[in-house]
Amino acid sequence: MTSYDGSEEKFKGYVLGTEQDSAKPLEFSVFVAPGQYLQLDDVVHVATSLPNGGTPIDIYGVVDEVIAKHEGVQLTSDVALVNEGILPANSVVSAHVSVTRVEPEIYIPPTPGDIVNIATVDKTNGDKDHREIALFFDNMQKKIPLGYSRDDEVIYGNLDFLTGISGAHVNISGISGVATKTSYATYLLYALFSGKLLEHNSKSYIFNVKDESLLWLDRRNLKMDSDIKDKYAILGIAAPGAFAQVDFFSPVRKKGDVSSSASKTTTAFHWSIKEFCDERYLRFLFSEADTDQTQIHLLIDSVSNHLASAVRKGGASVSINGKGIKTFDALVQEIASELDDDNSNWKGRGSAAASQGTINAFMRRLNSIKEDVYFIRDPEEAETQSGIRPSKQVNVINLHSLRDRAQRFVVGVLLDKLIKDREKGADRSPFFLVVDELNKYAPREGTSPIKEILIDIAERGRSLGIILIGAQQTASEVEPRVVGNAAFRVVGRLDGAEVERNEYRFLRNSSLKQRATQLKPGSMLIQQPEVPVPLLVQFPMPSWATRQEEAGKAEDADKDAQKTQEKLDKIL
Amino acid sequence: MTLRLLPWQSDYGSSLSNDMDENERPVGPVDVTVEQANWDVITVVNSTKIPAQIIDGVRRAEVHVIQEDTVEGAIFGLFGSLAVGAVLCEERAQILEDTLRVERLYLHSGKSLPSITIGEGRFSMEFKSQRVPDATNATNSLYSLQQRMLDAETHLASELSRDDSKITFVDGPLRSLKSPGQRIIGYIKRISQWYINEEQRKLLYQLGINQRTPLFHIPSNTEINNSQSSGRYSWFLRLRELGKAYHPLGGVMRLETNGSVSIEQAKVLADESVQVLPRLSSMPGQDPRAPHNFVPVGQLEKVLTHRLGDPLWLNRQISTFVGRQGNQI
Repeated sequence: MTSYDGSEEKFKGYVLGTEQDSAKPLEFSVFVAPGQYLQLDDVVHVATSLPNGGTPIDIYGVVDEVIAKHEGVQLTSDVALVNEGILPANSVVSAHVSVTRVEPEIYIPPTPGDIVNIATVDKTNGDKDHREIALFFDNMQKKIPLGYSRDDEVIYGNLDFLTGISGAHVNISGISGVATKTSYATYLLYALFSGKLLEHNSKSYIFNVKDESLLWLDRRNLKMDSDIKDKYAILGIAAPGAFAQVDFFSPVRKKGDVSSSASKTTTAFHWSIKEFCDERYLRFLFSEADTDQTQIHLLIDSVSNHLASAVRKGGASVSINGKGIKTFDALVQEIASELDDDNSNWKGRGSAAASQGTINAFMRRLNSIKEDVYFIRDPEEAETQSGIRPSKQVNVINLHSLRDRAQRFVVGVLLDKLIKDREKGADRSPFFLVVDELNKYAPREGTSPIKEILIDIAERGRSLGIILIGAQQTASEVEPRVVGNAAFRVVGRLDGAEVERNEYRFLRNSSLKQRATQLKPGSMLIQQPEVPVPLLVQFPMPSWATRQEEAGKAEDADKDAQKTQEKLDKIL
Repeated sequence: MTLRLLPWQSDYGSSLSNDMDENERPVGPVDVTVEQANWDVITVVNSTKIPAQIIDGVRRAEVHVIQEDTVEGAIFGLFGSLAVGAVLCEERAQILEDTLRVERLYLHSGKSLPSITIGEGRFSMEFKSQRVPDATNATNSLYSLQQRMLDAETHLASELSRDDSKITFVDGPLRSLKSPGQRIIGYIKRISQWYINEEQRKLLYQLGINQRTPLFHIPSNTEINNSQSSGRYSWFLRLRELGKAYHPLGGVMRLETNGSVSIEQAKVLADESVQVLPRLSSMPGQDPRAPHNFVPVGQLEKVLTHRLGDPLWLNRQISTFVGRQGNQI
């Protein structure tokens, strides 16, 4: 379907002005002439002008509803009469358009009868690209391909709203399994890194919490065919393949060996007792959201303070009461004996001292978690550094072998460290955090140390260059400040009840909401700051492996990545 | 005592408008034996679909005015609109767009006037002035508008009935039709004259769907000298079984065709009408004049009325015109 070229196939519709479908400055309906069609998400353009032949005004919009009916037919059974040749009736089609942009900004309705065109490149008018204007792509100085539309045109996002310059954060909602939330988050990273859209030292953490699907990012996807390559080509990604710079981090095994079978390049991580005490990481062992446990938090603070001062006394290692502490188990024992000792002030002083009940609760939780955080211990010979030092673009933190509380500890510690490092240093290059299950880390109800950090990142991360790409099944269960600060709101397939929640008001009308419940894997609705309507976006199947069967050889991956890099270097 | 409903919405009067026991007005001897000797129900077995086109018209009085003239004094004038057209029922029913005609008239009883143009540019309308000497009051003006509409219908009917691959149905008696084609049938929605006597009318109660009365011949009025000089063949059929609540004659319709066709041709036409019309009849609730106003005709009337334009808008246009220029006609 082309337009502006005068050919017979040119789409032509007319702005409606009936009582029922009157034209307004921000919405109007279109009569779709017989033999033609408009579909949802089509981008349209109306050239109108002020009265008395004045200023020409371009009105742009997106089709969000299409209606077909028999004209002049009232009764339900009339349709049978029409088919039997008794009742004469025309089938007519009209489409509803939500206006995205008016240029110049004179908000008048289009005149009923005005011609409606598909917004595309106008060859008769200096190749003016009406589609770009309609979707505000012309205003974006730096663009990221968010995906492609159903007619295979790129849909861009404004990079400045992703990297913290004008805004930050992405929030993705959708049902597990069909909403392809993780795939889309990974696609965004791929588009950012492979497109060289970022500063050189930009990095990211991806937390792999469920299966091993993120452990093959460094391998090319063997199942990728030329069709999928074509889709990447639409997005300006010439040689799709694996991620070029990836590190995998897994917790050390209890015996000291590397845990995951996935990749030979996995780096083992642990935290030393010294860092644990020094950085006051104790609180991240208590990071399930609480509502009424203020007493226990006072106790956690008190114990943390004493642990931190134990480090100062001990110098290179931790020693409590003259005893050197090498394992987490030993640390827990020392804490227990201090809290048991009536002469010790670890439980707090005087009236602020924790009650025996609080101490019991505290110790119960500490004892129950100590097996799960076995990676908190002093280094064995082969290990050098405590913690995780990200040096490549993509850093996959593989937590799927850990239990929930241990996962929270790692996430909490890494986020805390990232913020502190950024606050101390001057590096503001974008650091992306891909966090799934935000409802667990920043639930709507209650407080927890990780939730506080995530709120901090949502509200202040932009100025530190920390960008949260968060995902959850249901945004309604996530802290509103975390969701609300995301510049890009993305939904994959949503549950029918969930879509009615306030968090999805940006979907505007019932037709979009209904579509959100029907989205197929690989299709998302995206709301971004400059474009006043959510856009339907598709993204290609990963060009990197998500399972061992898909994974090309590691050498291939390296070569592939190198090739990608070289090609892109040439293009840019 | 038993009450029976008559099916039309009361605003539209009734399909039976005469006295039930009215003695026939003298129209000459009606011959009920032209088709067969016994006055008995005829069942039509064939149920093939037959292409049919139906002609109809609408008219609307837009604005009544009084023309003031120093010579003639005050006389009535009427701005009126009328539209006629046809709907074709074949495999699908469709309005025959080419047949749709709209006329705007200014009817008055004064001296001849040029046409009156109202509105400007694309929206201007020309009301043709027609002098109608009888139209000396509002009712007569309206009646003459109705006559103009019937004339336009007749005109269209003679034109369309030339195509005898289809049956042409016309609203109302065929009396005024000039040189019509062979396959033309007039249908009478509102029975004001039975033509058959009370005894013969009993047969109407027995009529079922797919059945009709035998043909009967109505002689022509002597003063009319056109294609009708040989009179008309007429018959009754049942459009619809309306159920116990309704009077049995509420679903009956009278039809007629030209006396100039052969009796054989007339029989074929009568049988074909039984095949065509009951399916097209409307149900109570579907049309205010159900079952007599056919479904495609109801739709045609809507389209025609729509073509007349919005009545408020027209009224406003005419009032504005009169307000600004009325004195200058």
